[in-house]
Amino acid sequence: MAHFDLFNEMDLLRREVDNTFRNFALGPMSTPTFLPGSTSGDYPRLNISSNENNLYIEALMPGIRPEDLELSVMQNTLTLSGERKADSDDDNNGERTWHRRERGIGRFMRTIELPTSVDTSKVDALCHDGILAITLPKAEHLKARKISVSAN
Amino acid sequence: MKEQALNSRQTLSDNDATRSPQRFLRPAVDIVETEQALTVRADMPGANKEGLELHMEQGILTLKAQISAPEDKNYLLREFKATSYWRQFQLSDDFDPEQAVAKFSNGVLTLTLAKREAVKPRRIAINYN
Repeated sequence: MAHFDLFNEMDLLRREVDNTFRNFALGPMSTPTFLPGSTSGDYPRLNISSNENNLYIEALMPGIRPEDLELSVMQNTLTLSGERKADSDDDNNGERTWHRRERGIGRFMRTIELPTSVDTSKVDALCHDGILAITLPKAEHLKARKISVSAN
Repeated sequence: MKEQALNSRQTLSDNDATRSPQRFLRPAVDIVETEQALTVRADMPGANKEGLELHMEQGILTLKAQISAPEDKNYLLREFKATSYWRQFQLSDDFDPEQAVAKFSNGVLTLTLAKREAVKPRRIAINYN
C-alpha cells in the first residue's frame, strides 16, 4: 500500500515552488544554471563587453563539450548552437533513483546581433571551465585612423 | 536515502546559512543513486581548481567554489556575473567518504560516493534439495 508521508509531500511541494520561482527571485543574475526547457529566458546567458579593438562575448555553458558546440558569424549576426547531452553513465540500464534533477539537457540556439561589424576571419573562441570566451576583432574600417595631412 | 537541503531559505539566498556577508549562488545539481554508488553533479561554470572545495563532515556534504570577481569591463550586455557557489546536502551514513572520487571538467563537478559494503544489495543463493 502506498504510504503517505506528510513531510515528504511538503518537501516535494517546496521544491516544486522553488523550481517555479527560480528565475524570479533575484533576477537573472542569481541563476547561473543552464536550463533548456525550464526557463523562458534566453540561453545560454551572455556577457558582451568591448574595448576599442575587440568585442568580447562570454557564454555560460557548463557541461557542454566543445565538439558539441557550433558557432557561426555572418556579417553582424552571431549564432551559437549546440547540445548538452546526458552524461554517458546515465544511459546505462539498471535501477537508479534520482534525488535531484535540476540540470537541464537538450539542444539550444541563440542568435544575437553584434553592435558593430567584426572581422569574421579573425574570430577566436576558447572554452574553459564551462565558460566560452569569444573574441571578435572590430572591422578595420571602424578603427580610428590617423591621417597625415600634407601641405603643398 | 535521506538527502535534503539543510535550510529551505537557501533558495533565495545562502547568506543566512553561511553567515557570511558574501553572496553565494546555489549551483544546480543532479543527484542519482544506483545500487553501487551515489553521483552528485553540479553546474559550476567559472569555478577553477584554486577555488573549488568539497567537504564531508558529520554526514553533511558541502560544495563550495570561491570565484574572484572579474575586473570591470565596458559591458554592453550583462546576463551573468561570476559569483561564488555554495550548497550543502545531508547524506545518510550509507556512503563512504573515504571512497569518494571527484572530478571537474567543462564547468561541471562530478562527485561519486561509493556505498558501504554493508548496505549494498545482495542476492542470497538458496540451496534446494
